[in-house]
Amino acid sequence: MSVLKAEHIYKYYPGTTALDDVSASFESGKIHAFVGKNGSGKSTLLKIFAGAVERDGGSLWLDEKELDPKSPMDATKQGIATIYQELSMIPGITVAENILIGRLPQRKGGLIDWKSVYAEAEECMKKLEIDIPVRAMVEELTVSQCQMVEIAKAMSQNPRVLQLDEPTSALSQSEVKTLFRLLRRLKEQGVIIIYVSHRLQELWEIADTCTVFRDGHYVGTCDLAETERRQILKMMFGDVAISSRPSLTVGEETVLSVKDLSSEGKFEKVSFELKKGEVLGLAGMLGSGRSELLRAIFGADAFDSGEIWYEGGQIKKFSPENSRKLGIAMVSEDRKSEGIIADDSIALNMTLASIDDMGKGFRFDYNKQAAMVEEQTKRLQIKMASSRDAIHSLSGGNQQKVIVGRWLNIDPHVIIFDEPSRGIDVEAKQQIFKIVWELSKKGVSSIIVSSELEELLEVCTRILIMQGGTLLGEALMEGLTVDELYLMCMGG
Amino acid sequence: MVKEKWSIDRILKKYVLVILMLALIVVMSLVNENFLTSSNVINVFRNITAQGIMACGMTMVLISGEMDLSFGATAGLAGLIVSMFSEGTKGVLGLDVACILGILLALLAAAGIGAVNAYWITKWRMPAMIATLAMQYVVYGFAGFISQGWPYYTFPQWYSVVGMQKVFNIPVCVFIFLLFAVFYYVLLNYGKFGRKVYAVGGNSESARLSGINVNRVKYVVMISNQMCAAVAGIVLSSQIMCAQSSLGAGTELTVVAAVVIGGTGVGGGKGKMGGTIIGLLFLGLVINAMTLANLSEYPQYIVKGVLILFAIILNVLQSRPVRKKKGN
Repeated sequence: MSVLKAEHIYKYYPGTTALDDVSASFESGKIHAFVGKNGSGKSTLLKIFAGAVERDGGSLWLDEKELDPKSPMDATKQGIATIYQELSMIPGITVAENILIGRLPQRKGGLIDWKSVYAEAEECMKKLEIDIPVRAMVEELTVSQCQMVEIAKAMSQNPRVLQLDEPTSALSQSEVKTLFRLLRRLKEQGVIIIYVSHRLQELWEIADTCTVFRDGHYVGTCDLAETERRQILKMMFGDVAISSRPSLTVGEETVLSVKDLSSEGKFEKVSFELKKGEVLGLAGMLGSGRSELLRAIFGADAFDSGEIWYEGGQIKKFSPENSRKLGIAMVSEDRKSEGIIADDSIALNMTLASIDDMGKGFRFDYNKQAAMVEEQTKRLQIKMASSRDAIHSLSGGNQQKVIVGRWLNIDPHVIIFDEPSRGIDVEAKQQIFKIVWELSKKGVSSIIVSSELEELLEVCTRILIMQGGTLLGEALMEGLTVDELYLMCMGG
Repeated sequence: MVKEKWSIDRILKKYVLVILMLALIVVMSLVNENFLTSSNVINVFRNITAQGIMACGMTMVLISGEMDLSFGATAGLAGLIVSMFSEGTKGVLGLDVACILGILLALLAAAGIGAVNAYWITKWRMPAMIATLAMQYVVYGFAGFISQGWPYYTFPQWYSVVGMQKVFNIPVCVFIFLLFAVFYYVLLNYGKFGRKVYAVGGNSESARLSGINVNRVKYVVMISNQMCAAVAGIVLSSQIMCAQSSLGAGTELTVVAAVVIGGTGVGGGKGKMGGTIIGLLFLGLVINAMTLANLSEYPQYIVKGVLILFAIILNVLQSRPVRKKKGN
């Protein structure tokens, strides 16, 4: 029997401790699930085992031999193979080539021995009982099949440990069953399997043990056969107290009305209403279609059918330009590629949505810009040296505040926040929430998408649940705890 | 102490081009007696006007994150349209009116070419380099086809004013170039549109999601670039009172070189009109120096290429962010 051990692992990132004295051990012949909410450290530990991230303290052991993987390839050599959510199949070459990439068998003289390539790949697939032709091109495969190939690739190097990071998020029910069959086979062959997932309902089906992480701490490992869902949730979230938010009065007037909005492959027949001053939360897991829905409402992406009514009139033209003119704002999910213009000044970034309002005619009034910048900097408490510095010099939290400031400058009636607290510190997060409440009191409505359920409970006046592209319904906030909300998002 | 050191280093990097240029002027005036004569100086300016006008438009194109390789072809076509239209309608309208209409027609055609370029880039998402390269062939081919390769000389007397006439001993075309330079300088630095161009070039998706009409910006940029090329083409044909499809050939490299040397990055979002002017002067001086030194065409190409490479290296070095030291 093999044992994989982590002893007193520490990992620090600027501003946060990702792993704080984590020790755990994992036996072969079992599937070990890692669970915990976002930022709990579960993925970090996996990456440390995988050689993708370097630990700041502690040691790793495999069968009483110390491991020190300095790179993913190093980790593979030392017996740990990892499969991530974003598969790393190389398009344009065959399945066999992908499996043996980097170690293609050679003939004398250095030429590739194609016969052996296909034979070896074939054998690898047979051992795992995977039924995919080795000569097929990667482009012809489905995501599930790609995942099978990726597993074959990992297993072809005979690792003692196989790690999977969120393997089922993109799979259908039947594909999940196929994956589970394969994992069980591997389990029987004595592989130590580590399975990171947020899908609690699967765990009892596939995993043997469950290791819970919370805020970088190791909470405990339990035998799933003897543990109930409630206990796991308690370990994940601790004793939850409902945070209080200031009393906000929601108006009677409907500001935004979405009717049967559909976009193929993304979301289907979504309908809801947004009242004046409301802070509406959209809860759901990754892939539920929330971001896609909001982008469609804002006009960033096209949709197939449905209607959107705003302040009594129907929106006919859908573009970010039009939304801006109507007073609808959106703080995007991916700040780096869709929010900031990294090399431009903080001042320009903060007034990007209001360029036309900077003075009369063709002239850009720099004074007006400076005034707007000063106003928002004070309001949002943005820390910077000079507004002429490039925005990339600011911390994540301050950058996010600049983008929020950009939209506040247009005096919006509706602001959409897509994962507003991603990658920002706690203080900045609280400041942004305070602004949301301030705006609500002034009659500005907000829609917030967040995977941090505690956040939604803290900030919102109403929460809608989305799963798999459909709006499941509304969550009654009275007395709702975060673990209950979590279950609702999972559809359970 | 550390702050002072950094300042000098910074100033050096920023003004390296101006310093090099001054150094070159000093060296050349010592080495060659013809260098500082008024006729030579005027010549230098005269030679850079046409390319200077094109550089104005190209500066904006590069800042917006795009590229345009078709403008040289349009320059040749513009002069041809003026002359051929004059030739064809002079009997009916009289040479003067025909020429004026011809100029308007040339500008219109250039705008059309610019619109087509923008269409490929926005609607079809073609990489600008490939799309405009293809258009370059189309335009050259078209210009050659309508003229059958022959030069045209049909111009009214006053047409030469632009290229040859002098006011206060300075050629008129230089004034036109200065007009364009000032206009683009003001537009890029003080205009709302200029802010949008920088934004689109810096990160077009962020700009789009902030409500800027990115497509409209690109159309305006590409169309105005072609119109600059048309004006440049008119200047060129005016300088020799001759129109030919190949008149703008080879200008593409020199113009882009001047813009890049002046500090405008090819990646978009960065660059200054002031830099382009310095780049033009610098390049013009270097070429003049090489000509006075009797260097043939080929070594001049080598020098131009090397200068572009150095300019880009300088660009990259200047934009490197301050590295944080380990242990901070």
